[in-house]
Amino acid sequence: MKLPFVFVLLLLLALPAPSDAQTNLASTNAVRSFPTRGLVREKPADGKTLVVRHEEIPGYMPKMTMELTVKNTSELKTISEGDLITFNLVVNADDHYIDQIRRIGVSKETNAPVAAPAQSHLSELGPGDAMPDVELLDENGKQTRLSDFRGNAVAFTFIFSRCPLPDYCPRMNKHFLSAREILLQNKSGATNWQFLSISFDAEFDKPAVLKGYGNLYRSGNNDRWLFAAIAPEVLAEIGPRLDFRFSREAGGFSHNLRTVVLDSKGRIFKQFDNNLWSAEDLAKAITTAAEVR
Amino acid sequence: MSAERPQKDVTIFIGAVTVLSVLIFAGIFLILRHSHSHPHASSLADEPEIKRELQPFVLTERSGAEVSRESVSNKFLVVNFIHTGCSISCEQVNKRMAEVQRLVANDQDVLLLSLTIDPRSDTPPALVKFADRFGADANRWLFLTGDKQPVFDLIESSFLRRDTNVVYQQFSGGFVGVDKIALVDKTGRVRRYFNGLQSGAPKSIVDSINEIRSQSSL
Repeated sequence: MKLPFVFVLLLLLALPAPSDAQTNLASTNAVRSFPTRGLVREKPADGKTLVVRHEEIPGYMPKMTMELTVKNTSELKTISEGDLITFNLVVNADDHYIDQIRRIGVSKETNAPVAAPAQSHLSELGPGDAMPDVELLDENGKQTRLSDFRGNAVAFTFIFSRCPLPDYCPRMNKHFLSAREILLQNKSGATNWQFLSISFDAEFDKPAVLKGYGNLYRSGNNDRWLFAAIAPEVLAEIGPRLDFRFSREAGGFSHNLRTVVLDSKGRIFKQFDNNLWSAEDLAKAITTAAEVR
Repeated sequence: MSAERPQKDVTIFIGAVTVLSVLIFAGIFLILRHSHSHPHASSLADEPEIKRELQPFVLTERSGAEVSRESVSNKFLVVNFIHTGCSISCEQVNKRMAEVQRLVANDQDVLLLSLTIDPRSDTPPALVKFADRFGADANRWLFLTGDKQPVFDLIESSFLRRDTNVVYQQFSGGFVGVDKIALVDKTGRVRRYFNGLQSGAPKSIVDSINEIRSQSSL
């Protein structure tokens, strides 16, 4: 009886009373507060922020490294890089801060060697490399694999349907449309080719969404141009190898452009790494890649 | 008997509070003492490679010209980190850089330098388009790219930490603090970092340059 009681008391005392902040702020609209633990990766010279690798914040954020604004800068006095801390993350619709920063120890990791930078870089795929097979969920709700198109030259690129920048996803779509026109109109040309527009926003780009989105660009003809989505865990494996990168930002994504042409044997034939290429360039690459037997 | 029981609990409570208070204060004392006796030990151990000094490099400018550490020596360098696919935060930081360019228009000893964190995308032609968006002066604001390895080596050796525990869904490729603007003095030392998202950053940067100038002329 006594022992558990002491433990409960210990817990109550040990917790830095985040409940106060929670109740004070709960009265303000849509302000939320999360008691969190993390490792101080950096203490920027401005004295107003901390770069913290924090634990998962259930219901709000996975574990990640973030630069956080410190409310009471005096709390930073005793904090150094490498410290393990507890703190309270307070967020509303357009702002955040942390307070109640407590140092609880020093990370054991600090003496660990810094890992070799970007393993993904070492294993980046280039022309001639076999493209690993990748499973997608297509606009018809069907599981589709890259290998399903073996025997065809394949051009794929990464998009998301909510993409607002005209020179990004929409430009990729327009290039695909024009390149397809060039290929379709060449009556004596190859017919073993396929275009694939792959959404990396699988959560939002469900099959029906993608079909509607694709139809906006395909001008009533779905011939050899499929829209599909890639699951986050699949993308996490293949994305780095193609140097395709993105991050969530302000309700959308910031991303780079990677358009890949595979030959009919499923090897990488050509990679277009930004948006400074033309539909003609793509059509030409497809034509050559389709001839590989 | 029933009246005695709560009293006993209260005694235990007070006892426990006293014992725990002592333990907690002792703990706080130990933690504070530790942090005072080794104020920077952990940060040094954590960043053995970061010398905060501009390391030698040879990279390609958007014009196609080679740029090395020597070709930018004896200048103040205002450095930021870009990718031409940026839409929100890096756009903001570049606007601050444009503001710095305006403020130092007459200070020939200041150069602006933008390093790409997406070298495969950011070829010289891509950088030319991007630089034009921000009115970058070809002689005062340089945009550097090259093979990924030398570009990333320069950023990591001289400016930013790379997180070992990188989550794939971060455009920065693991670099921490890509929204910062770094100030390098004429001797090649990285003197300060500024939050490139803050509107006051350009003025703070120019103030810092002037301060360093006045110190070195003493």
